[in-house]
Amino acid sequence: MSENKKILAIYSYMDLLIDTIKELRSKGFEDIRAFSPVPSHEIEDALDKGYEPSKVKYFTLCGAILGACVGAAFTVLTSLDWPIVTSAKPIVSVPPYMIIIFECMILIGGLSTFLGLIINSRLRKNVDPIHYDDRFSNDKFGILVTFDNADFEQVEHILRDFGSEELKLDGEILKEKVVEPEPLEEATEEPPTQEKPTEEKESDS
Amino acid sequence: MSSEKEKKGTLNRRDFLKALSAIGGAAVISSGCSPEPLDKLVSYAVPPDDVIPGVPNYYSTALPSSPVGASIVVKVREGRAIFISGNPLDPISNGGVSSESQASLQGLYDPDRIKQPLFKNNRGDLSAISWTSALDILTKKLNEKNENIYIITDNTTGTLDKLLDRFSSKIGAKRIKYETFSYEHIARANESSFGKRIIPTYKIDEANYLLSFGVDFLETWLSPQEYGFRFSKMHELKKGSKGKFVQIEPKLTLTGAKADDWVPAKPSTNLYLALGIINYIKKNKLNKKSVPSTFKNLSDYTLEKTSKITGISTESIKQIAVDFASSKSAIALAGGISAADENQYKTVLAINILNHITGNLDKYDFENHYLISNASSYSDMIKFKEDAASGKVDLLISYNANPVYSLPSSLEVKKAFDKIPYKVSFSSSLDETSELSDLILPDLHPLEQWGDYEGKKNLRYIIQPAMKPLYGNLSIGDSILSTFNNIEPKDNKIEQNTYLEFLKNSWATLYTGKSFNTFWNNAVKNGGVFDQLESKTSLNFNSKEEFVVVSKDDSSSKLNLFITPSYKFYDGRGANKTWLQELPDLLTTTVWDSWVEINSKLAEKLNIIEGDFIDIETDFGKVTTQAYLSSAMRPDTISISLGQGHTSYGRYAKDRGVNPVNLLNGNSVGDSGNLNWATNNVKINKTGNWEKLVKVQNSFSQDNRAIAQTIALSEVVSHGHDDDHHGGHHERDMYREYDYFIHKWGMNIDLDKCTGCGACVTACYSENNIPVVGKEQVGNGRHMSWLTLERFQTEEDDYLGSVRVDTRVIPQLCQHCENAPCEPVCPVFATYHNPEGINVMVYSRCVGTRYCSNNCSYKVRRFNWFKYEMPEPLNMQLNPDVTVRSRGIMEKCNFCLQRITAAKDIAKDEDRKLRDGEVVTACQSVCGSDAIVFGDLNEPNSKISKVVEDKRSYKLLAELNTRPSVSYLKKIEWDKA
Amino acid sequence: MSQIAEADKYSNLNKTVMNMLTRPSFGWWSIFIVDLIFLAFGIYCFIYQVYTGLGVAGYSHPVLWGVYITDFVFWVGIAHSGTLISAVLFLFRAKFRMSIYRIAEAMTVFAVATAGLFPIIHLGRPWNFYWLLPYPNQRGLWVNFDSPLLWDVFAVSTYATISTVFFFIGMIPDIAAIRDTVVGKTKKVLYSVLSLGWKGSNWEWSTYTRAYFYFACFATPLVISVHSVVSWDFAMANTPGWHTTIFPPYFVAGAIFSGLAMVITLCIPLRKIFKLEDYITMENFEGMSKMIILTSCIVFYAYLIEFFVAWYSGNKYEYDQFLYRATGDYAFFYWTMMFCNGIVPHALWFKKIRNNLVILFIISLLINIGMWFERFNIIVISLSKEFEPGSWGLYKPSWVELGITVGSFAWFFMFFLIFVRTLPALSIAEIKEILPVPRKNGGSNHE
Repeated sequence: MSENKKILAIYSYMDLLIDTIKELRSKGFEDIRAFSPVPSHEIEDALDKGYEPSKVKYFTLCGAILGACVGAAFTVLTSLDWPIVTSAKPIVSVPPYMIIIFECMILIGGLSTFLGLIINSRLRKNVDPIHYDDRFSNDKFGILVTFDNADFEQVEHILRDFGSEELKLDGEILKEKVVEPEPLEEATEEPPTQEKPTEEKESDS
Repeated sequence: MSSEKEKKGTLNRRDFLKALSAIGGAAVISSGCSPEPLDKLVSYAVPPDDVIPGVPNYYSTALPSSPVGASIVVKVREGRAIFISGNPLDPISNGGVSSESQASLQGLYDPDRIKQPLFKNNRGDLSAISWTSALDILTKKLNEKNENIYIITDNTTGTLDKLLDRFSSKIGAKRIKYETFSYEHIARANESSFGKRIIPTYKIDEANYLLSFGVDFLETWLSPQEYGFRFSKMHELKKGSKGKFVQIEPKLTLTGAKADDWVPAKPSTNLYLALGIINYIKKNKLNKKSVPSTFKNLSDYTLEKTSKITGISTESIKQIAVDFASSKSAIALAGGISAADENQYKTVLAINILNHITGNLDKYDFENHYLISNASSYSDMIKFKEDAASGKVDLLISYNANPVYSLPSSLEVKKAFDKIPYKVSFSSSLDETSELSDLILPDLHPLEQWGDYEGKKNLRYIIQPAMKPLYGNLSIGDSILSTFNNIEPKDNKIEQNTYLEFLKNSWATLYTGKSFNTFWNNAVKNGGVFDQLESKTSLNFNSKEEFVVVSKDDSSSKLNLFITPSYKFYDGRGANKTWLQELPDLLTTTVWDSWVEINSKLAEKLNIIEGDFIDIETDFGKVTTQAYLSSAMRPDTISISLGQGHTSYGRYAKDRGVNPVNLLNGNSVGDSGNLNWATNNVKINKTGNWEKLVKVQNSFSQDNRAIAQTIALSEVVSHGHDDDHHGGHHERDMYREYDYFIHKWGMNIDLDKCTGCGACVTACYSENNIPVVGKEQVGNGRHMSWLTLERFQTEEDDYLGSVRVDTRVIPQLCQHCENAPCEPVCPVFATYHNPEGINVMVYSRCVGTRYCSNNCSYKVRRFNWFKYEMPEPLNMQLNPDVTVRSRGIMEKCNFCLQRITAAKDIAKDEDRKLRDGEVVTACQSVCGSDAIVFGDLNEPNSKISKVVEDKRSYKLLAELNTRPSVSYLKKIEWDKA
Repeated sequence: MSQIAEADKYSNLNKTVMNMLTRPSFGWWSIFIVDLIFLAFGIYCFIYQVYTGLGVAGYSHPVLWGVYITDFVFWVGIAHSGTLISAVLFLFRAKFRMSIYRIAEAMTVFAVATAGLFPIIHLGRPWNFYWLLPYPNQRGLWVNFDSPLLWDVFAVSTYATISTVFFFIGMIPDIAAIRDTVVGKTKKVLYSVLSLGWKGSNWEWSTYTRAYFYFACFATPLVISVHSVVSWDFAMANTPGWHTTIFPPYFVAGAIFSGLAMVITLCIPLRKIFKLEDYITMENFEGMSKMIILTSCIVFYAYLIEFFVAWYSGNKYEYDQFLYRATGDYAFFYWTMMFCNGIVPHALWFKKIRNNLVILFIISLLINIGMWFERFNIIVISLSKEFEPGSWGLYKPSWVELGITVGSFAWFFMFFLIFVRTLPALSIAEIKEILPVPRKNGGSNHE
């Protein structure tokens, strides 16, 4: 009988983050989510077989097609509904309708893309605010590892070893090792302590 | 009040119906519903059986407008007169009617009309009183001891004239029939020439060469309607040729614009020119009859001398003389008002001689002469003025005469009037004269009263009420009758106590046939009795007078003033009508104001630009008005049009423009004793003020674009066929042609017949409820007219060396294009093509993007920038069949859709197809020269289908492939030799 | 930006942006109030016009379009560079867009919001403007899809919607950033809502970047289409001077031209006031200046080719029209336009001038004026002299029209002033992309 745990590790440096991800995945922890203030290909690459590619393109495609159809139907049907002759032109004169069709395509296509964005990014796989840190939108990176309770120590070790300057378990900072209060200073002082052999840490815990 | 009316014997509804129920056919009279505007629609409790709501009644009646009156048909809807068209039965007008006559509707509904009798109270201002007391006062006044009574009216004719004669003889009054434009000089010249002191009909239609010495016979002279018609007959293309018309005048007028040769002679030199021509004809033995010795020193007037005096090249004079003498049938006209100079009498005499020696007197028709010759002479008026000034006049009764306005201010008529202790007026509007009166008994409008008018011998119009009087007033006839029998001596009585009875009684004397009633009813139905006799008497010139004519040395330094009567306002009596004020003057397209026309070269010399305010000064007066520069006039002449410059006469006329008569010396008369309208001693100088001259049209040059096209006579008669006139290029059309399965309405306008009189424009206003926007908005380019007469002009050197002015007029209206550019651009389908080929406007749908107008190649769409209010009761004239447009929407000509619908309904009721010519548009219905043809292009043998196949037919801007339904016939020009 | 330590650059950027959102200063308020006064005057003019009638404008037969439509085209034009910079340059991966595109997009949204007013203002019956929308009604009336004006309705409303959404999407991560730092409950809630709970997780980023890419793909043809449609308002009419096929490219180029000028006009003061020198760099102005030169050349070419075609076509009406433009009553407007749009921008060939912000600012203003005149010329001059000489007439704007025009500028700047105080005027996330990524082992920046 085992339950899942989520640890949030915070980093100041992207390369450390990348290394951590690589390490975790090499140890077989696949349920990883990375946070960053910028979109980064490196992170995506590191998590390459993390998630299937976004569905948003289907929203876009369908929206566009739907829009075009709506535009076409609308122009033609209303013209037929109220057939009025202007300057001896046919009731349904296609060339001008193309413009309306085009605009409708863009409009509905665009809006459905927006919908797709919201649905895909937020409603699915939502993140509990507990596992989020305000600094991610500023200058920190982070990963959220979900793992089996049994592997707690191992994961914590990896995270610490790979230079995470703060670990959070359900929002609580893991006070295992003394950490300076203000993370910004720490970021610059942390490096020397990083070079410790991993065995010692393991024994400590 | 009504019982009052019973006693005084005016018509109340019952008698009215009684009197008229007899009249059958087209002339069923409606007086059923009151013309007062209703707040809510109330249906008849007991509907009068001759009024079907929504169905108009038509009454033929007449307008007693000088000089010859107008026979008209009035369209009445639910008791309101709303439209006036010409009476087709009238032999002289050919169913045409002038703008002025149409605008009499606005006289009827004039917001400034006097609504009840006025009496000058001791505070000296006019206050309303009841008819009873008004008539009592009048009776009392007439029974007082009056030494010297004057009755001044316009040239009254027929029964009213008889009545007034009896009236004046009873009260011992002197009558003056005052006409601003009296034709005294013609009458007297004819007396001397033929022993007839009358004015004949000049049958110009029988001539093929018309030489006019400054006669504006298409504007005001005698009967513009009649001469417009005769001229179109004379000038139209027949048997491969057409009449030639030469106009001699110092400044281009509307009449001159139609001339084939326009000869700008110096003002008041017509006599010398005539003598020169006669002399040349005599010298070269071109005359058919011997030249009478009336002008002893005729031989002095050699070509050279004449040329020097008149400023016309000798070639021109020679050409004219030869053409005139050699042409099969020619006629020369003289005696125009603007040309009435000091030699006005001798000029007419000379012209009579000219017509005589060339054997053209057969075109003088003295049988059917004009009764304007009954008008009093100018000297009588002067005499009256003297009497008044010296306090000899105790009582003045005036009617339809406005001498205070129309006589030169140098005569100080107003002062003279103030000397008259008591003045009674029957005028229905407060003009300069009637506002001085102590008692005003407002006459009914001609459309509200009974009467008759005989402007021309044997041409007796009947005036019948088209509607119940707006205000409970009495006609002058009834007012006089109701006082007549109460005036001492009592023995001299009139037994009839209504004017209608009096009228019938006087007509009883001249009827022939079985029953008077049938005769009378037919007369009323037809609008009168028209029996024009054939002229048989062969005339001979036998004047015993002899003159020695010394040409005045022309001091070329001096500037001549050329005063033209206005074809809109006549002598100024039209100035209170908004339609006429807003109708652009054809040649200048100015509206709502006066202007002084100055030759552009002269202006350049004085560095005057258009719009400058100019002081025009003579020894007798001074006026200040804006300059309009024209190249179609002599540099030694400036010209002002009559009619404006009222100091009273309602809100529309008051303080608008200037009255050039005030520049004249009232005491200088021509050799006929009539006022001398010419003065050659004018000074002009800039005031330094400038204001944009309000015109409708900004560019008079066609800019080499074939808008108003002409075609040479030789080309018309030649048999080669050109096919550019169909317009449109089917092969270029992307879509297949639209199929008009029932009707396809089309219009054609003959530019050769169109004189530019503007009657169609006014008709359009009155039919389609077009708002009048006023001077300022016209100045902003926002006139609303659906139909505008565009005037284009080019000057080129004549083959005679003098400048040849090519003036072209083209009525511009919605062309109802098949490929209308305006239609597809409207986002809301507010304008579209109906299945009968009409480009219709859906007012209620229009949101006012104005894209349609931007995309209209002809710029004939009009936008409602504001809500244009019209003061009551002018709104009573509105046509109930046509929407009154609200602000913010587009409007334009719709081929009188409402008339088409009406015609269709009739056809449907009678279960038949529409006949060709059954639909008559408003503009078409008033055109006297038949320039407009309207009909169904789907009908292979309709008039319109035939005329569009004419070689002269063309479409505007055909290269744009808009394919208009309106086509034009090119104006025919004489080939330039 | 050398003075900032590598590691602090990210946080520093956030600081800068947050500073812009601090409590408005007196200066800001005073500008804002003045702006509102002008706006109030504009609104008064419009009410007066609706109450009295369109006649209070200077329209005069035959010129039935004037300043209002000029303003419409002008603002739509302004609206173009925003989406151009954000979308097109995004697709071209042009680096210099990163720091200015947010401002440009904001400008786009507000410009469209301004432009959208004029078609309604210029109506004869503005209260019926909704009749142009195809809505079902009991009278069974529909609209005329053949009418260029209706294309406008669709194009402009689409453009407004899409560019607004685009604007918003671009801001989501930045709003999240503000959310995370801002103090005050209401603000917190507000920004949280706007941020749609953005967390910046890799999943969100990957979806986001894709969505943004698709949007850019939509926006790009849209930009082209919208101003082409606007140009068809004229090109579809048969009026000489309007009826020409080069209008769409000519108008699009002109729009971008004027839009870039407007961006510069806005950026230079903004940069000064908020001390954004670190982010809005000379490189940005360089880029825009170069694009201005390009578009200016296109526009100038169009001016010249119009004349050539008018002459070469042998079409009298066309020929007269262009002769009239250059020599007629409105020649002053024409040559002002020529000077501002055709001559002035070529000063930017010189690096010295490109880098002198004062001159650049003046040039950008001149271009704005020139482009307004361009639209005025096309509309008014063409209409005042058409086919039918008898109908020719002149048009003079009235104080009401000018008042409403001034009001429209006030309206635009009102939005902009509010924007710079409430929303991130710099794109935090995207600028971070061009900043070096903080690395422990000083590894080279891959971005």
